[in-house]
Amino acid sequence: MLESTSLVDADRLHSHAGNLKENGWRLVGMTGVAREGGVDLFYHFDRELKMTNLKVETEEDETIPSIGDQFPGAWIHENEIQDQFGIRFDGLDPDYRRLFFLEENVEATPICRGVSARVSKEPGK
Amino acid sequence: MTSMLKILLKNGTGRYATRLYPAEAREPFAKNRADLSFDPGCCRLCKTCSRKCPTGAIEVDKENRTWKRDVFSCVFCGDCIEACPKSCLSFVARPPLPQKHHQQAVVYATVPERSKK
Amino acid sequence: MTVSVIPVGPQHPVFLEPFQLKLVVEDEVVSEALPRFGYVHRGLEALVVSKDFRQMTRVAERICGICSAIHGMTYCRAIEKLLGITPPPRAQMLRLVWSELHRMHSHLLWLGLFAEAMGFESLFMQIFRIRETVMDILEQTTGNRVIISVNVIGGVRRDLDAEGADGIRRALKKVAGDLERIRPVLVDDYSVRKRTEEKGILAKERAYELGAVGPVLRASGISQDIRRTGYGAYGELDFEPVVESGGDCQARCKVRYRELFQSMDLIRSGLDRLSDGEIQTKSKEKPEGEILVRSEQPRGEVVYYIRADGSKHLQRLRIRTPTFANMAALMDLLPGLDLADVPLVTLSLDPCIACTER
Repeated sequence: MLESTSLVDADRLHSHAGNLKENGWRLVGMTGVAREGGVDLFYHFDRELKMTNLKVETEEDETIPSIGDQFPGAWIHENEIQDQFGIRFDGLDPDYRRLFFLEENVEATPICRGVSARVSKEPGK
Repeated sequence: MTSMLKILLKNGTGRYATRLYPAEAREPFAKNRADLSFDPGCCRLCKTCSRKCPTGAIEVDKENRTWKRDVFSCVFCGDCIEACPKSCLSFVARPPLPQKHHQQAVVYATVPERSKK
Repeated sequence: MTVSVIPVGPQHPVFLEPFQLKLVVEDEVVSEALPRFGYVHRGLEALVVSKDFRQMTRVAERICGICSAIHGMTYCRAIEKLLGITPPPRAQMLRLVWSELHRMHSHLLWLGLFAEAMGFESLFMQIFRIRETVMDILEQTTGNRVIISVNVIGGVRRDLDAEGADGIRRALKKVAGDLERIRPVLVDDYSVRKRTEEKGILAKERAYELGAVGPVLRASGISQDIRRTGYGAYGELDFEPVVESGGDCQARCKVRYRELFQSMDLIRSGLDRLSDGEIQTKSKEKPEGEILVRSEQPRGEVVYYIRADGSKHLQRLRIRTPTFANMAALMDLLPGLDLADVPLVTLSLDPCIACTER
């Protein structure tokens, strides 16, 4: 287990991120780790060289709220996670629909083997 | 404006910054990792080097007693040199000459049979 | 008013690496910028399934040529923490010396490319001439020019003798003199100032909010440097982060220029404090657990996340590179710029697509 990590529910992520934002934390990055039946999502934050992490355990077919409205730099991390794990982010802007790093013909999720992508590359779906 | 002009005038009148290469070549540094040398005489065909190689450039065949290295795959990291229990491998400072054929890009050595003492 | 879309890249004289910017332009002023990545995506993070954790050191070094030594060092630090070993003090100090030399050659490369993007070819040549001294000293002490492959799990692979240390000191003296000579050009020259001042201003709050890192953040007036956490041998040395307040291209140039002198100071005091002794701690264990490790690269903070389960292969390796984080800041900077300033401002953030996409 990582140091100073708190486990949060996906629907309470927004309020937790908002708290951190108000207290002057900066979004450092996001990490996705595949596990049985879902993906562990880590949000790393930094303030004055100290780190804190939020962990969201996602289930299959779960949509995660985007924190892009609180941390404007989050879109790049979320788009990458969407590419690698096929997790859907609600309110992601700009949404590359899994074309951020991947080609049009890639259907698999590269880092998370065996899980089919839940984000369609067709616009409007 | 004049500050750059000063540098340029100095460059124009001073020595060359580069060497006139084929005529005047620098000796390679002693620690240079230009080529990998293999001494078949001390090899025990233990395959440690081929297991440690991050790119899979080294192939060891125990039955035919051969040791092969694909020069194009090798990244000269030196992991095999550290791993070799008999110290058969070492870096050569002087770069190898250009090769004419692709086959020559594979270093191929037959490890001699050892008489049992 | 005419609105047109101009694709810049993936092959463009200023961007040395392939990525595409779709610029929506209204009468020469950019109103929207959309990046397109994926031209050099190599999937290095996924390689953990086929390479064991010792071989991954070599993969980590090859994520980006310019920050190679520090990528390798950060990966090794993460694995060492999981294994519970500490490299000997001499190895830690040698890592510091080589990573600072790497920072110097990266900053000199950036300064040179920056001059070239302005169209100042002779300055570019002059800076690359200085860089060659640093490259030579790297080759002399480690054997390679760019990917120096000195970091191994538990320490370093090459030792530095007294002659090598003297060589570094001599080279640094030469580099310091040469850099001092080009200072008036970079700072006071009329055409350079005209091209860089007030261009691409990233405000302090905005830079922090967007998660910008490294020299970009420090040029916007925020004093943040991961080396201050004192990892490795950095805790023994005292230094202050270089900060500028302008937030424009000129400030980013000054930060990197001054960091060159900071790196030289660090190398000199590192060489003075170099203790005798071993350079490697060996361990036969396999890593287990979860860890997050950060280092300061020439381009900013790099974050390594590793999850291992005690087997030969790691379960997950995640690398958040500094250029990846700065991409968000870049996309925020571009709207509102003149089309002619786009290449220079883009370059001033030091984008490295090989790092960004891994």
